[in-house]
Amino acid sequence: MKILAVDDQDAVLQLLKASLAVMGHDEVHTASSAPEALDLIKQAQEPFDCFLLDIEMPGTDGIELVSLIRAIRTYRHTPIIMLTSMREKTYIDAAFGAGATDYVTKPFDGTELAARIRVASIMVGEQRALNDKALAVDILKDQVETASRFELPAAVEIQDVPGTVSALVLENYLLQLSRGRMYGMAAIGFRIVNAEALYRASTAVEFYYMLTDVADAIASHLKQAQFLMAYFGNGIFVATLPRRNPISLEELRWELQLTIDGIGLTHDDGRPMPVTIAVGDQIGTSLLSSSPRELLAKAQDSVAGRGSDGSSTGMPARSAVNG
Amino acid sequence: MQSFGATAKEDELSRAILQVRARFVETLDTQILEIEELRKSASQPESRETALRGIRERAHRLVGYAATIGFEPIGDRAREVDSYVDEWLSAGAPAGMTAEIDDLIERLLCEMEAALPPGDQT
Repeated sequence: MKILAVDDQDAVLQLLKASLAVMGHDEVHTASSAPEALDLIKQAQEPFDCFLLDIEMPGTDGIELVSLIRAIRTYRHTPIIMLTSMREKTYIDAAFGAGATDYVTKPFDGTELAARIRVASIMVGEQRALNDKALAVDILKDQVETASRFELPAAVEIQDVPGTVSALVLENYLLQLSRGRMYGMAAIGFRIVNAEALYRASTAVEFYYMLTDVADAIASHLKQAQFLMAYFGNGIFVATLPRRNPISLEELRWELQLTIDGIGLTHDDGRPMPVTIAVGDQIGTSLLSSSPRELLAKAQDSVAGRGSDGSSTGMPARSAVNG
Repeated sequence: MQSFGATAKEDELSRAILQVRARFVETLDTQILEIEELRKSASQPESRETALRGIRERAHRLVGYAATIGFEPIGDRAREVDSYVDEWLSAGAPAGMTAEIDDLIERLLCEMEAALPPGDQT
């Protein structure tokens, strides 16, 4: 596996390189700054398979570097593991929001680091496979209709919306939180009530762009809170945010629908594409029992049977992360 | 049973740790002097914030690798200084917290001095 490690401390780079070699990773390249890293990325004949980035670096820091790497099409799904001290954990949310996959706390332990790299590779591989099967996003970007439709329950990854990550990354983010921080988290589910009808009436491109616009609208209403969001399939999004937040669910419910109506979504042929959105309750965690998966599932359940007016629609169970 | 390759790589890791450790010990007296100078500056209100930022930066670097090369107590004390100064800066650099910071810096310096080679200890 070809790895690029970026840290402004030579000592850390030297130790990283040697630790990774013990774990069987021989092709480890190093850079001591973001510009140097970007040069190496540009010059690479073969793309890197994984990045290890220090958060606190002079000039362009690790979080900005994540965004710059993610902006390169080749590296949209490449694992990016942040190296962080305990203090910098406050920046971890921003790093995940920028597209990081995972983090390791300094001083690092070689075994833990290797395990994280392995997990990141598996996770990204699964996401890539899911996306390849579901939708060729790159082809969508080029406005080319793909013949293969993705299934309605598929948790396709929504690209280029602030704070929006894949369902797997969101779950992984929650798994990394300490019990105390997990207790401080809440989740809200959002459901496109008429997703099934829209799915039947749309091409894959139209449906995907509709999801992106809805994600954008949700993100614009949650931006006052530190949130991370993912699409879980079946027209359902879940956003996680601090339990104490300035969001009023009542206002969010009607303002979000107004925003979506204001976008004026249409099919490619100009037919209107009316989207009805329902917002679930804010689901908190319990100190003793809640796991990240449970929190995300409860948020999906909270909105699964709900119409835009709060009435029950008999919507069936949630979709799974892996479809 | 370990393969020859695995053993060679573990030797390489040990070598890397020893190299970084040796370089760390070589520069330890300079690092101590720098922190002491900054600590003196931090006692003056007009230069306090800049000096403590300098100390925090040095402590932060120690957090990154001191424990990995066998100086865990230095890493722990450095983490305390790093976190506390960060908290102090986030709180708007209030005058009331500086005695605690000075105490933490003193503890860090003690650990660093204890790691000096015997001939260099003061």
